[in-house]
Amino acid sequence: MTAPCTHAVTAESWIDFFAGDLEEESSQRLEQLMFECAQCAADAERWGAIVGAATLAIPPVISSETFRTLQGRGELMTENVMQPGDDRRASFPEGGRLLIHRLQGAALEGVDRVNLTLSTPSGSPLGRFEDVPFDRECGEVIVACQRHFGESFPREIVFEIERCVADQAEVVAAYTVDHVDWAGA
Amino acid sequence: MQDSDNAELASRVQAGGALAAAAEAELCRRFWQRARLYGLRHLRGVTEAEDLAQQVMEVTLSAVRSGRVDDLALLDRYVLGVCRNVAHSLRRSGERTRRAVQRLALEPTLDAVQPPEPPWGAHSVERLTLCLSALPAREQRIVQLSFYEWKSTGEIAELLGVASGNVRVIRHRALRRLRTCMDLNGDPR
Repeated sequence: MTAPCTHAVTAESWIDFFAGDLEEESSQRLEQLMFECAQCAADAERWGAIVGAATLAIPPVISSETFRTLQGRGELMTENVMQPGDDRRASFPEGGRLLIHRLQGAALEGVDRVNLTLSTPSGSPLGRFEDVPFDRECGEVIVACQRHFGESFPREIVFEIERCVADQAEVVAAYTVDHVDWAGA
Repeated sequence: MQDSDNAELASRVQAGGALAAAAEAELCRRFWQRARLYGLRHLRGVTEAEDLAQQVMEVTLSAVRSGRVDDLALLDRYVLGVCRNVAHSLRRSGERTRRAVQRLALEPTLDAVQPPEPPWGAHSVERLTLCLSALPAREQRIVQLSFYEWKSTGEIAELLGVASGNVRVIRHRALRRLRTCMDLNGDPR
């Protein structure tokens, strides 16, 4: 029978460990437990799996900084630059997982935050992302469409940028994209 | 085989014969993932971490087979030591070292070193992307800055205009939420 683990490493400690936030001595202690204690290793694996996936997972709406990181990593992607009112067909690069919609031209000076809503061309709501990253000067919101989103969304999506000042929200730009690679209706 | 201790498994590897291959596979199952986590922490990239894990297992199995591990009862510490050495070498000289480490593995063991399935299956990244998008904006951003951009807590605090302690608290909360979300989508364990 295996003895119960008495090391009591907290979830917070494992998270700090992977974030590189522990003192050297504490970090080395956790490394040692990861190799010498099976229960500790199992706990570390669960948190490590989330961190590992997070190093690869790209959120649907990204900052221009993340976009530059993607470019720097050599990520294969198609860039689709759009202006308000555009209605366009767009496709993923062959062998790549990313289709980047650069939704530009929205008046975003002086806003407190920006929301992005998704709907079908007939107006059925599909989703809403609040307080998304945006570029104030270019008036740009960047959407990182990924192949597997096609399992949850239809081909044609209307993206609407909503500017928020204090409690007032107002749609300032809309863009329609037909994702030709997706099998959705 | 799963109930055997590390020393027992290593002895079977050394003895060769019919049980050696299964013992090697079990040792890989135990240590590959730990070596990968070590790599993730120190090399900050999944590919780099998997390279490290592969090399660590090759060096370890080669050492066990040829009797170069002094005390098999301390095999776990030996593997941790190999992790430290390989990570250090990888950081210092990249590809050149990788080739040197490969030469150290006297007998190629690629068939035996099969990485285990991640805890949430093969579609962990897709699932996490969906879970990530359900987080509140600030939590999402801190996860992204911490583990995609690999920024330090101090850098994130400065970027977002919050205290370092708050960054840590938000990151803890975000990862707990992600774990719950991943579990709700079906946990194979």
